[in-house]
Amino acid sequence: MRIAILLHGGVDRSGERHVIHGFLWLIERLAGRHEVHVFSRDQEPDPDDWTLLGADVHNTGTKRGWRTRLFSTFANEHKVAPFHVIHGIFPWGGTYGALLGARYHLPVLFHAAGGEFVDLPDIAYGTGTTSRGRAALRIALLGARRVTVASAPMQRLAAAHGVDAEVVPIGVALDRWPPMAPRHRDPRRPARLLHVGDLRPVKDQPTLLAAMNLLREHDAKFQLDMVGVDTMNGTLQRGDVARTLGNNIRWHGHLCHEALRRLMSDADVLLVTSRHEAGPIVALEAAVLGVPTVGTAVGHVSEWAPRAAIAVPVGDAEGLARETIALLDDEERRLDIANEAQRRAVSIDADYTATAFERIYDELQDR
Amino acid sequence: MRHDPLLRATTLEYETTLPVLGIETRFETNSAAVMDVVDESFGRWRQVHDATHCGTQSVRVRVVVSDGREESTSRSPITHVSGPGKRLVLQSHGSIGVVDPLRRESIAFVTSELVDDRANFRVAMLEAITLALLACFDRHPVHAAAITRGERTALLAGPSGSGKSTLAYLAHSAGIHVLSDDHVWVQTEPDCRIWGSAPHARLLSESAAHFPEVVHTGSEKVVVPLRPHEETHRLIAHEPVVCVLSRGERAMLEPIPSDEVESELVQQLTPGFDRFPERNADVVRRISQRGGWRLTLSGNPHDALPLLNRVIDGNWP
Repeated sequence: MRIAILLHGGVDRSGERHVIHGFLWLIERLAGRHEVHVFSRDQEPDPDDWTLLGADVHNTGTKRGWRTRLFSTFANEHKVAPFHVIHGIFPWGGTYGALLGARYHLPVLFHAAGGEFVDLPDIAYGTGTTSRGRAALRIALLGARRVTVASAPMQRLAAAHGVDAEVVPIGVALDRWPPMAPRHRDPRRPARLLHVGDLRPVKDQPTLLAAMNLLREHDAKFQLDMVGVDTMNGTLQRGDVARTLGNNIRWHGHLCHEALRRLMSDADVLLVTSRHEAGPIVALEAAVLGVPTVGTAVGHVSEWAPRAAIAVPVGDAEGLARETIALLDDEERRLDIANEAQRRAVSIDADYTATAFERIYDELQDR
Repeated sequence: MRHDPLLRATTLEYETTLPVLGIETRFETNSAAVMDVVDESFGRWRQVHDATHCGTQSVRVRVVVSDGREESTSRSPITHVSGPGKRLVLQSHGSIGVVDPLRRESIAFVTSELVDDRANFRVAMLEAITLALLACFDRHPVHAAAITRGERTALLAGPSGSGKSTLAYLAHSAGIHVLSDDHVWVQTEPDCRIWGSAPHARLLSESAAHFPEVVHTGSEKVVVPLRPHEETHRLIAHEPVVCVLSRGERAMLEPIPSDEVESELVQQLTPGFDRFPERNADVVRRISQRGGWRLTLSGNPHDALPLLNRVIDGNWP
């Protein structure tokens, strides 16, 4: 099968920086069985082609004329051998996938992987916040024969917009990210807490820091590792709460996947504070490594609670602090949750994801 | 060495391919100890080299071993939980495996401590992930012992404790070949075949008391090796007749019609054999279509031997 994936970015030629590992694992699996072409726009400012994990990446670049380049590159590849299906991911991929699908009469699968059905105007997050975003989403939905999302809460958001979406989680590649057994915590050392996510408003790190401050006031011994690119120019680190927490927090910035794995392997709890997540895949990665998640009721955290994760309301720093302390004080429960989370994450690994999408591609062609 | 941004997958340097249940099964592992257990569990399938038995596409079983301990104070229990997409997840407090029939493979990540617990690893992890995978490909598990002589095969069906293993051992002692003392896999296409591999019979200690040659170990079940009557163990039989076991005052044998055999087998469906309910009815109908026997067992298993001979040698009911 010849598959065209439209993904605005996350497919850097390094395979390390500016990538989304869940999608790389998917691309690698699909490319092992099919001919896969990835069309991106934002990966590099200049247009270029490269090979990544067996797939051909065509980056149109962001410079003037990128739309023309996208359509002509797609046309050239389609002329060499026709594509069988277009798979658009995120709003950009969905919108331009729909346009290309209409032009070449190709079936389109749209995977809504971010803020497609969300409207958070106070932080300007979600396609619903602008008329341009709403129009783009409308095009994506009109052009797609099938819509998929990563989690049940995201499916409910889609349903609220009148969209019948199928859940296809973006799973972890077990051969690349092998499982580790949930481990007993060493009570003599400070609890190792981990947060992974770029520093940006939708991840709501102020709630995380507020919760950590409550932990500190509670005399809890902990170390918080913060991993992620700072998109806010140090605002968070310069704030009063962060300064109060001082050495309780280690700010790592971006880490390569290998370094992240080392840090995660050593963690006792993953903390998620996002106001919205379609996944998040980091909760699955942590689960595979035997690390349970305490977080806001979004995505997998919400659908797995209470047996395989602990969820608190969005923005509830007190709840997050209380549940984190409770989990750290109850080792048996922490391990039970970690075991259940691992079982669930393994049952929806990257092979499951690839098989699910392959089934949908087949169904789209059978129509 | 080239940098691998996705993290390098573990090299599985040990590999072998065996036609387990007649399906080419490729085992890959990074552990010599695991390969040794593979040979112990499935090595006897090497004798199946008839290509007609191996018409199905191959499957892959991977076992990745890492240094580590099971986070459990007692022997690590391994749970089996069905997942989405017909998947099956096996998990202990340290090891985890997933059976993925849609991709025709399974992978397990196990601790060295579990592998060192050889019997537990062999039965509860390696054999479980392999057979659970194979069961997805026209190899339907049926809770029955199977005995065979010449071209004749009888399935001895009954719930746990009904006497399957005892009869299998009795049959073995009388020179009848035993395909399995507890469960078999039924293949339905292109014709009905019974696959089994039982190097042992597991006798309840009270049943073992009827056989003076069996050495009692004091445990609840006595494992007795079944040495092959021929050069090699038979692993396959065709078109069986079903013999439903029951208990009574005296041993007796009576023919029963196909619908009664079918009804008995459906009623006897036990956990572990109910993974494919949609397929079970067809398989049961297939093996019941000739009708069968009801074999009533008395307190002394030896009373059943002449009746077993009648089943295995006689005409169809």
